[in-house]
Amino acid sequence: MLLVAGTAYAQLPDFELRDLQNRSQSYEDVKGSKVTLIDFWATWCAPCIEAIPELIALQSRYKEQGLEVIGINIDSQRNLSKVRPFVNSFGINYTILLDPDSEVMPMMQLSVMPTVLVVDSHTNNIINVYEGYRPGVAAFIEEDIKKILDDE
Amino acid sequence: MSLRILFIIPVIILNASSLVAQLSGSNLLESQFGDTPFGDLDNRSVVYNQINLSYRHNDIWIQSRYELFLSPDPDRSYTELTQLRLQYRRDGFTLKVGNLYETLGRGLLLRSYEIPGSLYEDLGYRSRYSFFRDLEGISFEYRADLFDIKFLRGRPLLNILPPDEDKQIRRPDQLEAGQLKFRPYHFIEIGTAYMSTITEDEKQGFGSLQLDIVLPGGVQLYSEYATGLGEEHNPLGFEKSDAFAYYGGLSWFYGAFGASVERKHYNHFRMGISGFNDPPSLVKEHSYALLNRSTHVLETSNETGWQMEGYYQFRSGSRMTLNYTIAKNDLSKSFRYHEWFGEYLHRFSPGRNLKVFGDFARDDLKLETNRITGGIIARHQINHLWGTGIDLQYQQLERLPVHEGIIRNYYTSVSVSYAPALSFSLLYEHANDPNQVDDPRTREIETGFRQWLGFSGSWQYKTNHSFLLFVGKRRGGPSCTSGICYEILDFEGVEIRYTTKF
Repeated sequence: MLLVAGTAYAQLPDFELRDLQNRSQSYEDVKGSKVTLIDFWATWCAPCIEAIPELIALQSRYKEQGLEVIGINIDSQRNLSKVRPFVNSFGINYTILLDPDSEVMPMMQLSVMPTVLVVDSHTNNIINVYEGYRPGVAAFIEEDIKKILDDE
Repeated sequence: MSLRILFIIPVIILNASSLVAQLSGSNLLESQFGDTPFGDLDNRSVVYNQINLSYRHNDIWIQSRYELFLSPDPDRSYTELTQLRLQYRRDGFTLKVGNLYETLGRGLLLRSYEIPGSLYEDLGYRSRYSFFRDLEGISFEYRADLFDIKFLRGRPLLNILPPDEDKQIRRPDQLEAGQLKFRPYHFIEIGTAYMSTITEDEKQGFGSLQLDIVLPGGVQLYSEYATGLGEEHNPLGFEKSDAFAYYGGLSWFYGAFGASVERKHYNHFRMGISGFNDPPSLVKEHSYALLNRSTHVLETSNETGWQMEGYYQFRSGSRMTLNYTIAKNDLSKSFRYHEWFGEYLHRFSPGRNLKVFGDFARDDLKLETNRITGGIIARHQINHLWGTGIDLQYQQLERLPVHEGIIRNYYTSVSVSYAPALSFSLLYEHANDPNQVDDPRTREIETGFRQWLGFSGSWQYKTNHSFLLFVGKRRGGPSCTSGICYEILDFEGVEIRYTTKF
């Protein structure tokens, strides 16, 4: 009984954050047309950085089909000056939003870094949650993306 | 009674999935069976539970946190509603009432925060509670394309005191503040803030100016100056008796190269009893266990310094990072902190990489010289499901004349993961540091070494449930996460954590 609770636990609430150009962007402004991946990360988080090349590859592969990856950076003001050069030197090809006060993670009841949310952009339902980074996890995220695209 | 609550809570949570979509929440249940080595109690077993409930209806959002702690010491057990917030957001307006998180500028005047999922405990209170520093009060904010404006009034939390302590003692300071940010062009933002504080019936005023410019060619400049206001302060005095804080950051990228240079100068700038501001410390925030533990903690009563960092990303995905930090504290005498850090990650293929790092530091405040740290971390994805990793770190330092000889710390971790949701690791640490070896309860000075061996496992079941298990000995010490540094206690025993979202 303890382990049979539902899978899609929540609908993603809309949020509004600044991007690297200091523009205010809401989730609705930047989400994918069909699927959205939301990655919570920071420059000081080693497993978060390990996950980034996998997200870059997914964005390249599925952007044309309606995927958008959104990286929500939660570096505090301590590291904020490092984020822009880090993102550009890393060649990150998706939207980065800044959340230095970590407002969005608690909204979604999240506490693990990194966490990747797979969101169906039509319903805004959170289809899957991947907490922490483990080698091989990108293949599971890709399966989720394909499943949402196939259901279209 | 409390135990019944403990059983009832998970049942309610696990059945709540069928409730209306606007109601969501999470529950964190953690049990420890064991104790802190050198502590006053033996076989101390405790239970902690945290339930977060969130209700959303159109533009209204209500959030609450309820914490429960059961300890063998009845004076330390508590059940408290520790956070309650009402938020209304519409067309750029945001109104928050209750427990708030707010920051002004880059935190020179005010920063509130939460370290998600972390629990705090100190040897004095031996009480466990969620680690945050919020404000209890009210805030109003309006965001538009051209400007943002914010007003707030509240009492910041003195988070070294547990939730069952008297509220007046836990929130000893009061503040009122306003901030305006103006964007005449999309690449420039000019901000100003004013804050008035009352601590122990003493009223003080502070102001700040902020400038953020994004320039062509990958250059960004941020500069903020904050100062005490009033007859007793000279805002541009820069004397030893003046209260002021300056932070400047310049960042630049060109192709695969990125760099940042930052400057700090803080003087008499710890706010209130709770210390509710948090200027950037400009010290590298390391993910390596030995370096994270050795961090320099900012001293806002007087500190100047620089931090420079550069990255280069190779076409293969390999990456190099270099960092230099210098800090100087003019206190009873002058203390310096220097750190040189370099890291290289070589990416053989997706899922296979090798990382090496080296670090050299000197920390006068801790009497540490010739602190050399190095390590090698390898990750190998065996197949599409299994992965493994090894992490070897070594550190040596001198702490003369307090301790004779070379102090050595060793850290080893071996991990195995099974995608997407299962991982295990074995951790071993070894140290001859007299601060770790000596038992403070005895008059003798113990020498030799200490060892910590622990096993940890984590498992995520579906999207909602995650389990963490730790068995063995865990080394404590300073820890920094998201710019916040705090002490973690040693632990010896079994720790189980179950988190669920609904």
